[in-house]
Amino acid sequence: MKNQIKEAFDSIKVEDALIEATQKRMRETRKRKATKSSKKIIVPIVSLALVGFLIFGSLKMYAKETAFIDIDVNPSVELKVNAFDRVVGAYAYNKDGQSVLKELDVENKTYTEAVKELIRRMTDQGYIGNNGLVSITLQTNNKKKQNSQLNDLKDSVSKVLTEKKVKATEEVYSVGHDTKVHSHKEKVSPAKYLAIQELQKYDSQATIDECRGHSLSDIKNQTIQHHKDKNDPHENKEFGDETVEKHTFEEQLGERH
Amino acid sequence: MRSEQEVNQALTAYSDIVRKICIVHLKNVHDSEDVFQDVFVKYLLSDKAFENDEHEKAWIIRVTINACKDKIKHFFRKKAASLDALFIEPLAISNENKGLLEVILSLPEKYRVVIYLFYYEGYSAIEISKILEKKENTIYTWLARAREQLKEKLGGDFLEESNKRSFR
Repeated sequence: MKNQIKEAFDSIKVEDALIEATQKRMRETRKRKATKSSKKIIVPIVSLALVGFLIFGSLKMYAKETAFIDIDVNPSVELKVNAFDRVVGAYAYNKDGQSVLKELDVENKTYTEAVKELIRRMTDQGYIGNNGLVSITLQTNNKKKQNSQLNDLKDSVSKVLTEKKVKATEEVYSVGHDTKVHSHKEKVSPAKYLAIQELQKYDSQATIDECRGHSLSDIKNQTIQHHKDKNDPHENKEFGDETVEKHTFEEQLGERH
Repeated sequence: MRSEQEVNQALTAYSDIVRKICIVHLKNVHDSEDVFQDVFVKYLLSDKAFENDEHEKAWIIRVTINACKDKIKHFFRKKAASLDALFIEPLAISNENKGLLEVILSLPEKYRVVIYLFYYEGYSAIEISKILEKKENTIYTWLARAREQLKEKLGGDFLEESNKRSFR
């Protein structure tokens, strides 16, 4: 029985035509699979490139500054702020500014946190005292956010001054793009640049180079003095208009405090 | 994916087995051709590592049986035909063997396959139970019933020798 069954099944042989058809189909499958494999490689590469592009784009967007906040006490510092209200860069206009920034890491903090830390540091280091002046300017192209940012800046400064129990004058205002560009070119803060321009209305000899090293409040006081002299020339008879004009700006301002 | 050499070796080694299993399960040449090709394409694409030739052979048998079962389930499966219609080329077979094959192929599918695996491939009931993923007792039952039916169709003394062997 076993042998008979074996013999019967042995008669069944695979046909050559079937072998050939199978080999042909396997060649086609192999070819198709190879194409698919190359697609499999291309798809992750393209996806990876897209992800990389998105990450790069996001980082670029994060790093792009959309607002400039300039703090001028005597230390003059500029903060570059991105669209997410985070500080993406800090720049010191003078040595005092450098010394303040050296001890602080304000990058990636919100601009309000950064401003608070800077004002705290300036107060602790004695740059801001009673009757001092804290001037903050904001330059932004986003007019919708401008008012809320100005309010946030005012609140931040006020909170720190209250916390430190310092009665200093605060001024927070916005400046235009041109003012920012010109002040940057002259390497002074926009607030100082505007103050110097104001001074130059009274004193044509005052130059930006001469004023750069002086504090904002000194420049403003000098302007006020000129204004007073102009309106009441007899009040300071010992100097007189002519005398004042003959003095250099450095002499008028005296040594920097 | 396996190399061309591997696939050609498998084709040489297992093509007759696959063809026989197709004949045992399927009743028309087109379904047989489809399954035959599917099995070797599956082998081509499989990354399965085999322990030895026996393991590879058992895998091929298992895959072929499953492919046949899937084909049988297919709604649009072509209608069954006679034994001659199961082959692409005319079968060189004696009348006696042809008659025996026709009787075996007339048995229910589960009996056909156990007869083939037991008598032709020489697998034990335990090995068949592993290949078909059935209980060993089920295989014994199927074998006994398959023999009974063959006995009925072919005559009483046909299975005497094999009966003794299987129940030893």
